[in-house]
Amino acid sequence: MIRVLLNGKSVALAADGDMPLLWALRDVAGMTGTKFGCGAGLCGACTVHVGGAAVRSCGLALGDIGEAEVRTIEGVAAAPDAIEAAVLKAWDAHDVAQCGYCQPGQVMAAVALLQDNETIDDATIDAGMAGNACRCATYVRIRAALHDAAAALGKTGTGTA
Amino acid sequence: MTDVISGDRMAGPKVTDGLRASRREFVALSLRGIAAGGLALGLAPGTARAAVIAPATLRQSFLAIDAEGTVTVFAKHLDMGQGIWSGLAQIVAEELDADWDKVRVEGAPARMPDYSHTFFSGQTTGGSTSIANSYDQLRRAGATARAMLVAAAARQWGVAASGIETRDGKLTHPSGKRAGYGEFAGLAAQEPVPDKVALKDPAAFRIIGKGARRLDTAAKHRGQIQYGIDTRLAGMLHAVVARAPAFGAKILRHDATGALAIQGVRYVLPLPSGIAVVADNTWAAMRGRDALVVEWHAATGERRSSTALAAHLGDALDKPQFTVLERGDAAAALKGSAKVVDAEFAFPYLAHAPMEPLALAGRFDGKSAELWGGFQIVTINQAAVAEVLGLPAAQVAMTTLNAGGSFGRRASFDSDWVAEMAYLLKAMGPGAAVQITRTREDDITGGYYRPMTRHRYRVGLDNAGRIAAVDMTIAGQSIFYGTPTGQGDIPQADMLAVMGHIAERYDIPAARVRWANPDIAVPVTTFRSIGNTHTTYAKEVVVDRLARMTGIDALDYRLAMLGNAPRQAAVLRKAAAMAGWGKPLPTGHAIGLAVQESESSFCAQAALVEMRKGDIRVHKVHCAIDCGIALDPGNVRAQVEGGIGFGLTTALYSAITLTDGVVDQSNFADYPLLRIDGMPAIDVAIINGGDRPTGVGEPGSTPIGAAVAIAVERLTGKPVTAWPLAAAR
Repeated sequence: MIRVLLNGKSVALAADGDMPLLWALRDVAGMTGTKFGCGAGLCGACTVHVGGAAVRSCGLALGDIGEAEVRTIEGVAAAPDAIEAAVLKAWDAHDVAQCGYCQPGQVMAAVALLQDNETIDDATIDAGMAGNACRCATYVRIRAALHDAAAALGKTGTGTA
Repeated sequence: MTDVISGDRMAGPKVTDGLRASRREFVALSLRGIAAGGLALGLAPGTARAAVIAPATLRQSFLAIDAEGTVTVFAKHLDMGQGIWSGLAQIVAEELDADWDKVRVEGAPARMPDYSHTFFSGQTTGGSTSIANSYDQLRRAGATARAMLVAAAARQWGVAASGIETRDGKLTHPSGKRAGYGEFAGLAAQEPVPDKVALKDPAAFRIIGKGARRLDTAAKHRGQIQYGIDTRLAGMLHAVVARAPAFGAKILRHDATGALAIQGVRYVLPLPSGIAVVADNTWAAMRGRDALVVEWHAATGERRSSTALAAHLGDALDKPQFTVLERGDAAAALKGSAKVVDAEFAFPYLAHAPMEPLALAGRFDGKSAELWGGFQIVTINQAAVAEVLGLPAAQVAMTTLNAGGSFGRRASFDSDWVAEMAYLLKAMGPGAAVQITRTREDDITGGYYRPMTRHRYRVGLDNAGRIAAVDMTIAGQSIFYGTPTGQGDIPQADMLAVMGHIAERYDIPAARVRWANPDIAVPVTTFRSIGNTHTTYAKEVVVDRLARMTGIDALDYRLAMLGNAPRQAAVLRKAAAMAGWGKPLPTGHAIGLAVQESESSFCAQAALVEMRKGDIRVHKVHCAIDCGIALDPGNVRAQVEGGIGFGLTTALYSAITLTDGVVDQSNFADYPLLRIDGMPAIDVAIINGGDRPTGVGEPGSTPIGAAVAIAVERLTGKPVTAWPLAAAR
């Protein structure tokens, strides 16, 4: 039994410490918002926040989380903070999703990008979001939505789309 | 008291847009609009079904209205990211005069003839036809329900139906009477279904073409949409399947001891497709599979390497079995040509790599089965499952969920990934509830690719440098053979292998087009835009090369051959104008121009490309698309943007290669996808060149591959003879 602080609640998960957080979320906690895309840290679909930082949950063993808080797309959707709300609002306004499968990971990565940077420009977006693949290639709208979210948060940089 | 969540006591299934009423309740439905089971929507399979039948609903094949006025549209097609669930709902809602904020959509059950495609046979999604084939049908469905609501209100209010207006889900009458649709849904169900209904004048549309809010995006952004891989059933186990490393290889023996020793692994079951490891959760199943020892027969299956396959395709080009087009006398015309030009092109296998690796859930009680997943050819899949389980098709319920991408993979005509579930359910026996998940490695190495293809052209030019004749051959596997959709094993000319070729799209006086069906055991299937994925590339490069060779402007060169194709010409002119065709460009920059008619739509793209030290950088793509009428301009733009990104991945990076029959690639490190930093800026112009909506999911995805190759030729002065164009990142 591994205890994890999950979206603000302490939860005991009946799993071994070597199970990746991704599968603990999806199959043990019943939270399927975080998606499986590659299992190798290459696509970003499984992005969550651990201890406030974006992490590919397919590569993080349950036993290595310790006391750090885990925040998933479910937590963001249920009670978004100012940055999270700005991201969701911009995403919705641009109708970013096509198939939508990668979008929870995109949103989590975008939130982390805005949390970690005072200004957002195209170079920041390129660097911060290149780890999140979208097979539908919704990148034009992801970029536009990020710029809008940044502007709403007063984080506008140079080189807007 | 903290929550203890155990992996072996799964909660009941989520109630989402993907879940729907039991089969029993659906059997009671008919076009007569019999009110039934309003509570059925939102019930979770596996939980106790409510026995109460709510009378206050109107329920028809394509829509239901409940007592609160919520309108549910039943979509007979799969939404795999092309936005059609919202689009189909818009059509119904428009003629219904629904309140768009009270409209939701879910997948229709597998049921013929109600949900048949109106162009093809069967309940199926493909060829960018969902909106086009549904347009009239859904307009009638919405208008019919509206008429019945009006009739019910007229009867209740004692007024003439002609005096009642409908708008935003409300019925109103000048006398002051008003009601929401929910209040009359039950009574409407008792009205006779009219044979004829009046449809709106498109000038009066309030939803279609007006930028209506998408129904699905907010939920997708929040991780609230259920895909096949997210399905959770009571008592559901998780399976992964160990499949042969070479296509068609046979298992000699396997040793399950190591697998069964992994905690959480319950069963190891041989299937025709491989060995299934069934466990309490996906991780345990994957670890169990890693511990499985399987011995494969060394000699069976496709064991050639890509170089040998390429040579085989080259031999096939020499002896094509089928002539697919003959116009005039190409041989004679070539003999009389002023100049003859040869060209050859090679295209690799392509994996679809949808972000949701194929996954589905199913359960079986011995007499019936239910499956959940992103099904693309659902009645074909249903028949395959029924055959494996020995059940009548009516006892196989298919719930079609949103798919996390498909690009054609899910439409494999032999139902490979769905039949596999049927075999697993059969092996597990009555009481089975299980999900099969593919890993990314399973997906990339699993076959069902866009065929590896070679083209050979001999083009004859007249004295003015124009094309007088083309003699061409395409060698690439058939997608139909050996499948229920094809003619069994009898070879037929497979138009999917040659669609969109040069003589089909340009005015060329004499042409012979032949197709060679090679003998290769790698499974193949439809891939976004199918044959256009190579014919667009090859023909546009050939045409552009000839223009450069003869000193004729590449836009003019094409336009001169599009005299009978005004819609192709229009998008081509538009894209060229958007790109500033003819204006000087900075050093190291070139514009590649390409046009294609596909899926009854017309798309031209002008790609501004820079090359620096051999690296290809696509800065901007100007695109003109004519899809008849754009029902949802925002989604048309999205599909084209996405199509360009998808096509750019293909053109720059994508190749599946084999060594001794084993696929060399396995994940995104060696089968890379375009990332946000490689995505060009995109400018889309929509031309409404028709009076009906035509396809948009595929047409935007192929011109880019030609456009970039053309720009590369222009910049390097060297011919492009093969794709992909760039080394893997």
